[in-house]
Amino acid sequence: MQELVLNPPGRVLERDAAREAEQCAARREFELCLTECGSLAFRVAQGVLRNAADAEDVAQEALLRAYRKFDRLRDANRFRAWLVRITFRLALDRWRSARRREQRETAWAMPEHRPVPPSAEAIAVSREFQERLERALEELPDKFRMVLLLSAIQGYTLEEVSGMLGIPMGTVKSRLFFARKRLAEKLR
Amino acid sequence: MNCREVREKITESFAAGEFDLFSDVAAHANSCAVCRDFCQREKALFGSLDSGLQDMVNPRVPPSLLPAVRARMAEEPAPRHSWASGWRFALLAAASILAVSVLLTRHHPGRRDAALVNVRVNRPEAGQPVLATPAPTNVEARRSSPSHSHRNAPVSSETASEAAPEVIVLAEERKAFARFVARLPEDKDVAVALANPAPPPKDIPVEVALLRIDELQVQPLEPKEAE
Repeated sequence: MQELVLNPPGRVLERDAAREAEQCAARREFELCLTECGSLAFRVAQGVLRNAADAEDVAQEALLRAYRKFDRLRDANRFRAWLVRITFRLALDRWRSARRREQRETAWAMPEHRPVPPSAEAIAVSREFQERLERALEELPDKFRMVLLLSAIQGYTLEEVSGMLGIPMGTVKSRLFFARKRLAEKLR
Repeated sequence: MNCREVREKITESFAAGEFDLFSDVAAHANSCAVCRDFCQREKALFGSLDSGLQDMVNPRVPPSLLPAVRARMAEEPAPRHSWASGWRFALLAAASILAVSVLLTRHHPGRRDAALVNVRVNRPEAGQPVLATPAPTNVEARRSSPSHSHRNAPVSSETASEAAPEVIVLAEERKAFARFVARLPEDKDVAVALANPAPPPKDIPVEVALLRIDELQVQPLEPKEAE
């Protein structure tokens, strides 16, 4: 029969201390990422939802989800892209559920009178143009919308967007081109 | 290059973010009033589109965002270093429990059922010992001392008739063992220790030399003299 070899208690304490130190290091590392990318999460959410309160909720949830699963991220350099994807997905879910709710509510309402749209120049700076832009953006496929929103965020170059999404620079450019062209078609 | 081609090129150029037109397109737009008008409208449209998008995604970040996230982080357990560690220790714990049960089964081949029966039959009162295996006949003959009096207390007549080694398990020992097994998945170090084989014994084998007898004399016993 085999003998049972038990580790001395001191060794267990050492392991606990080592584990605690690792957790502290992970927390510090996440804190750096949070400071650097917290605003990015909010802006991505804002781009999808266009409502500051909802965007803040989604950004908080995305950052917390990233924190919970931080150990699954093998390469810390990919944090930004990972966070963008989490935020975008959460924001889309929130937006879709809000839209379903809105459709349910408006189905019972009377159809409202829609005025004839004025020319592009006249509505360029108006609120109505912004609303039309938002609607056109919602109709874009997700992959186009994501590139368009990220490239519009101040301080990020197309090269950085390419790094964030993990796709080649040429793909970013072509998606951006088709997204802008399609938006223009809808707004024209 | 006709007007239709020029308009397509103007749109594509603006869609690509290039607001400086190629020379041939620009020349056509300058000479054609309709295309020039189209070019100006497209330029305004794409300009509005860009500014609208930038307004949309560059709002002021609320100052409450990061403090709120930090507050919620404080309520969460810290992230582990490696995602696989939990599964690894769970597997080790399961393997160690399996190994211990196999070892116990091998150690008492064929006695398991009898032991279980006896444990069930001799369910003690709180604090009373349990006879885990059949007891030998000479249980009563065992030496008793004041400090170990509870060890020799009640042995049932059903089990006393069987001739087999006896293991008496105290109720508190049994509970402690149950607690130990229950906590085994949490106490990873103990689980690892259970899974590890014991180091080989360091004892040097003793060589026994053969007894050598050179001469052997056999003599008849002398008869005892009668007193």
